Amino acid sequence: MKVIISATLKSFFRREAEAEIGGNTVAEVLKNLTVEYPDAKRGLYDENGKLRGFIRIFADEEDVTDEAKHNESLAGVSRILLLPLVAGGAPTESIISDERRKEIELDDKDIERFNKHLLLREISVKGQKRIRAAKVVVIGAGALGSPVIQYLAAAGVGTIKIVDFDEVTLGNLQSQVLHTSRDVKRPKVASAKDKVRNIDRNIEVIAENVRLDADNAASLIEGFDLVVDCTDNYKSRYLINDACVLSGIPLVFGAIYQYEGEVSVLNYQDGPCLRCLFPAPPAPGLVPTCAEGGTISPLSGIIGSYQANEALKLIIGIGEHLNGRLLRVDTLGLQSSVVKIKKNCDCPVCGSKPTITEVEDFDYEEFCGLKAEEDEIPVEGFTPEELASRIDAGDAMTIIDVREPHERAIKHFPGAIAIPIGQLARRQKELNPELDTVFICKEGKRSILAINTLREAGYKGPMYNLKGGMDAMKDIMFSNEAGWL
Amino acid sequence: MIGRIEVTEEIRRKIERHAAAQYPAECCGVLYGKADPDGNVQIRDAVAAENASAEKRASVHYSIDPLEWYRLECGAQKQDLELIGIYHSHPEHPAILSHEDEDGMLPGLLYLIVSVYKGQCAELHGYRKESPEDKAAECYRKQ
Repeated sequence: MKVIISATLKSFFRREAEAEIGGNTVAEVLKNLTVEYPDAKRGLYDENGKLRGFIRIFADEEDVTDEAKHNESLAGVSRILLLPLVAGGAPTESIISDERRKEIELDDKDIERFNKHLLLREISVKGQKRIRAAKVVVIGAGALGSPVIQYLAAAGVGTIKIVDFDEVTLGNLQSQVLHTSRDVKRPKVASAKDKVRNIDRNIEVIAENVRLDADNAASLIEGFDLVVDCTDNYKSRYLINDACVLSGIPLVFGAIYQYEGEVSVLNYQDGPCLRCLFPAPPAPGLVPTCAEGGTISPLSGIIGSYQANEALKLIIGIGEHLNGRLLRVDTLGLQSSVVKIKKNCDCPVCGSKPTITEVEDFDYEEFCGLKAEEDEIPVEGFTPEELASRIDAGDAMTIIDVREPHERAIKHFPGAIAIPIGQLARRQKELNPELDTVFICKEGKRSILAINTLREAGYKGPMYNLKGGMDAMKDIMFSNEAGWL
Repeated sequence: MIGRIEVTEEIRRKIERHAAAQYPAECCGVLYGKADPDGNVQIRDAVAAENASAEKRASVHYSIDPLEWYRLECGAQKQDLELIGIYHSHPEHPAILSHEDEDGMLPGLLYLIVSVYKGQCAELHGYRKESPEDKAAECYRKQ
């Protein structure tokens, strides 16, 4: 078979423009070609052995690049052509159409207010009109939501929907700069709405004081251009991701932990989604969410500001985006890096054969493969009230606190022995199998893991879990202590 | 290995005329010329190609049909020249490589990008990568 090699690919074929290669199918010809020209392998295939995206194979006039055609007979074909597909595009495209942009008018006050944007050639009047036309949903009005909501409002985003079910607490004020001490006990969305109105009364703010779940996720984001995920837990992140993929809405993702943060743009221009990026979230309870793990105050400001910036770039249609890439920032070591993320064609929600076709509630424990197996003995537990009354009655028992030192420092459990999960198997001799042993953690999940770990290690004594963990215990008063735990 | 890249005033004007004529769509074309083993590039001609991208996407995207590409290669050969590069325009966007540009870049070829704002051409930048594994590097810049 005569193979014609494009001049642009010649360097992989000893600079020859034509070759005579045996084979009755494209697959055979390609195989023999790489034997004859070892360099061709590097030119034609990527590191995963897939044909490079810019290679096109023609059998006479017919495009046979698709692998499905590689085993068809080449009878009657006079030549195979190896050609490049030359393509490219402008750096980006706005998610706001020209039609919507043209409907927007800016008045003199707007010109004054957004002067600093108008001075930038890439933004100018057109970009500012796109920002005004944009409709953005921010899910979570906490640490990440604070900078995101404030910057989107300051930048002039026309419609902002804020979704959060929570109330402001004193502990929120360390990082959630949207709220002040006067807002404690108010719904976060009410506080957020006030702040946006104070920035710019022309912005339409929609406050949704609800918890995002499988039933409302799709309707909460319907009709919006962009979603910014400012939540702090894996379940919400996966629900938001699925809803965005199924509705075709791009998503700006952000996450923080201690001193480090991550930002990415998902589900944008055929790019990967969260399920391509992290096929499965970490086991529940194993990785503390930031509500448990703690973060340094400005971290959410840094990561949230990146999210707001990515959102604005998508709206204006400028610059490089984090789609297909994940930005990691380590504020303690002052390192940052951008990691490439590939789209997974087997992804259950955005792959070629999706198995998830509507936003479904999923059992987080099962999803993580941590759910108790059928034959596994279920873990028994006490409610905080039951445990408190047993302590008050002076029952003999051992209490094991499996929380990390920084968590114990926040709220000490009187009389408990501290053993981190990692040391349990080795230190099981410290437990008395004749006595009941109660395991406690922050939310009552890691303690279940602790009990199963000890069972596996051969411990035979009776073990109980504190249901709901320390969080549930905090309103229980012990008579002998005459105070709050 | 990147040597000296020469874009004459005449070639530059030809590219800019094409870019302005296609605005607000992207234009694309190929560069005929000679490249010596030291990486020095001499551009002799800029030949317009048809932007095969669907009309809806043509303001932000270009592609050249592979068979047309082959005809353009043969056209260079007939004039005893080589197809040494590609040019395209970025309407309302700076003359920098987009992700898509970089991902699809053919090693060894010169990529000239011209930015067009409101129908007026602005910067002309050139990029190249040496092998498929390399990152692209800027090799030419004219304001």
